[in-house]
Amino acid sequence: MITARTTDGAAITFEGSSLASGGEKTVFWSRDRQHVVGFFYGTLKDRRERAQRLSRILTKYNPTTGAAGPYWQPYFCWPTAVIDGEAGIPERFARDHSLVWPPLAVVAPAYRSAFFFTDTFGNRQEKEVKWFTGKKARRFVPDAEMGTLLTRLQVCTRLARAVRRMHFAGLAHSDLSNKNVLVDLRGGDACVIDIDSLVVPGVAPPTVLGTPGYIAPEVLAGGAQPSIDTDKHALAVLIYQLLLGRHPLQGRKVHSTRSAEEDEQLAMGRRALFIEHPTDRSNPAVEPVRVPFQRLGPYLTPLVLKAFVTGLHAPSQRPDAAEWESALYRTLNLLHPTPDQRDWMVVVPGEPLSDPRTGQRHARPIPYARCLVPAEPEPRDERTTLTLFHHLRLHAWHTHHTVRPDEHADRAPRGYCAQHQGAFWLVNLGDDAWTDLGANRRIGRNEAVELTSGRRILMGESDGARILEIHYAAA
Amino acid sequence: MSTRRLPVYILADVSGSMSGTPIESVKSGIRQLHRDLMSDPQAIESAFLSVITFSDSAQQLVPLTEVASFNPPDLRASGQTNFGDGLRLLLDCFDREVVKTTADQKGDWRPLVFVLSDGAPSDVDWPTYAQQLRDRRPANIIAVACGDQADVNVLKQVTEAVILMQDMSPDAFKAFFKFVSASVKQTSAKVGSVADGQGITLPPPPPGITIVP
Repeated sequence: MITARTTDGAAITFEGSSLASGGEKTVFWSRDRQHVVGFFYGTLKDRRERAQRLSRILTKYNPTTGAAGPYWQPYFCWPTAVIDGEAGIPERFARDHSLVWPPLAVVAPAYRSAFFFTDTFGNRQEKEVKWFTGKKARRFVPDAEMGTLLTRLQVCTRLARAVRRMHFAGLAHSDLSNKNVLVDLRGGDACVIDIDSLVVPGVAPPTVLGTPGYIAPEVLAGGAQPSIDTDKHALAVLIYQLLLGRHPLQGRKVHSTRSAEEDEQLAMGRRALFIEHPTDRSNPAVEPVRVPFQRLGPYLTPLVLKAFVTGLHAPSQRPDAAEWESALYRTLNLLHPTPDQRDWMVVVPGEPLSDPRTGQRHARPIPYARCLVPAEPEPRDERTTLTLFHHLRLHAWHTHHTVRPDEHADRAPRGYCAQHQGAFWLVNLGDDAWTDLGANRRIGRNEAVELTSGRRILMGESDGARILEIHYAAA
Repeated sequence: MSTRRLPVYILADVSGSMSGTPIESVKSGIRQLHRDLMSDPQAIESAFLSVITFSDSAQQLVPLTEVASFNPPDLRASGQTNFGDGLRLLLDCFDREVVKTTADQKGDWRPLVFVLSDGAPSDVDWPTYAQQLRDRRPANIIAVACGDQADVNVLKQVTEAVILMQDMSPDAFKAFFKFVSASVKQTSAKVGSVADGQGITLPPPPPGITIVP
C-alpha cells in the first residue's frame, strides 16, 4: 500500500501493484476499491498543460459538483482528485512502473458494476462499445447483454445528454470514441470515461488527435484541432454504430493501393463518404444493409443525413448533442414491442408495421397519439407522435409539451395505457385532471378514458398540458 | 472481410541455448499474450497471430490465425541459430499471408513483428534477408536481444527498433510479453492513426528492458 497526498490536501492510499495499463496511464486500485488512481507513465511532453487542464476539470468545469451534481455523476467517470508532484510517492515505486517524474496522477471513481459483463469464457470484461459492435467480439457476449432497440436508444440518449452537458459548458471531450465510453446495453446506461483529455478553454489543446474511426475528417485531412465540432462527428458515429451495428464510413471503396494506412487516412479523412449516401453509392457497406438508417424513424433520419452527408465535411452543419438528445428521446416515444415481444420497433404511421430484423408484421392496428398544443382557433400540431401500448407509463414529458425528460424533470408517473377487454384505455394516476374534449368529460385520478380513433384528450389543467389526438396505425 | 487485419508475427529463437527456463518463459509468455488479447475486443476484431521459430532451420508453428482461434504452440529448444532461415521464412509468410490492398480489396495493416534472439547467428545468409527487410520495409519490426549473449548489432541490421532484455528471468519475459500485448492492443486501436506511414508509436517498454539507441 502506498499513501500519497492529492492537490486538495487529502490522503489517498492505493495498492502498489498495477491493475491495468493503457496508452498513457498505469492504473492502481485505491485501498477501499471505490476509486482508481491513474499515473502517467513513460514520457509526457506537455506535463504542465496536463496538470493545468486537470486542475480546471476538477474545479471550474466539473458538472458532478454543485446542485445538479448528483444527477450528472452517473453520466461521467469524472476525476475527483489529482496527485501532482512527489506528494509522498516513493521514488522506487515510480521507477518500477516507469512513471513520469515528478508524478502526475488522476483519481477517478471505479466503474459501476453494471459496466462489466461475463464473457462466454467466464471472464469479467469492461463494457467497451466494441464488444457490441464488432462482428467477432460479439460472439463472446451473452445474448442478454446485447439489449434491445429500447435500451440502445436509452444508451444513446444518455451519451448525447452527457456530451450536451460538456458542450454547454464550453468543454470538448476531444477523444470521444468507442474506447472512451462505457455502455450497458442491458440496462440502457452509459458513462463517459477518460475525461482528462478534455479541451479546456484557455489551456493548450491535447496532442492526441483522437481514436481512428472517430476522428473528424477535417482533423485527419490536416489542419483542424479536436473541438466541439469534432466531438459532434464522434458522437454521430457512436450513435449510428450502437443503433445499427456498423460504421458509417467503413465501406468497400478503396482510396489508395499504396498502403492500408494511406487508404484508411483518405477513407476517414479527405475522401470520407457515407456508406448509405442517398445518391453517391460508390462506398457501399461491407455487409449487405438489412436495416437501413431510415428505419430509425422520422426524427433520427434527418440527423443521420446531416451528420454524414451535409455535415461530414462541413463541421458547422453537424447536428449538435442537444439535437441528437431530442431526436433520440422523441424516437423512444415511437417504440412498440415487436410481434415476437423480444425487441422493440419504431412505429411510423403510414409505414409498414413490420419488425425490420425479422420481417414479422403486427396483426392488429396500433394506437398512437398525435401531439397537439392547445391554441385558438385550432390546436397547433407538434409534428410528434406517441406510440401507445399495453403497460406504457405516461410521465410529465408525455403529458406536457413544456417538459423534457432531463435533469429538471419530475419522474413520477402521471398515468398509463392499458389494453382491457379488447380496447385500449388511458388511466390517470395524477391529481391534474384530464379532459375528454369531444364529450367535455373530466378524467380525474384513477379514472380512465377509452382510446377511440379521433378522440382528443387534454392531458391536464396545468400550463403546458398537451392534447393527445388518438389514431390507429393500420396493420 | 469486415475489418482490416493486423498481422502479428512472433519470430522466436529456439536454439539449444534457449532450453530450460527461457523457452518455458517464452511459451508461457505467448499464452499470457493470447489471454490478454482475448480481453480486448479491438484485438479480437483485428489482430491475427503467427508463431515462427528458428534453430537448425525455421518453421511456422502457427499460421496467421485470428486471436479467437489461436492455440499457443508447444516450443522445444535445440540446435543452432539459423537466423537467416527465420528471416527468409518471415519474408515468405508476408508474401503468402498478408493481404495487399488492391483497387477492389481492402488489404491488411502493416504487420507487427517481434523477433526474439539470445545468441549470434550460426548461418551466413542472414545479411541478405536482413537487407531485404531493410529495403522493403514490409512490417514494423521490434527485435529483442535476450541476455548478454545476444548480438545487438545483428538485430540492428534488421530493424532500428531493438530492445535489450538484460536478464532472462521468467519475470523479464513476462514483462516483455506484457509489452507485446500492450503494443498489439495499442496498434489495433490506433492503426491508421494520423500520418504515421512509417513507424508506429509503442507503449514505453517495461522496466528491465531498455531501448538500444
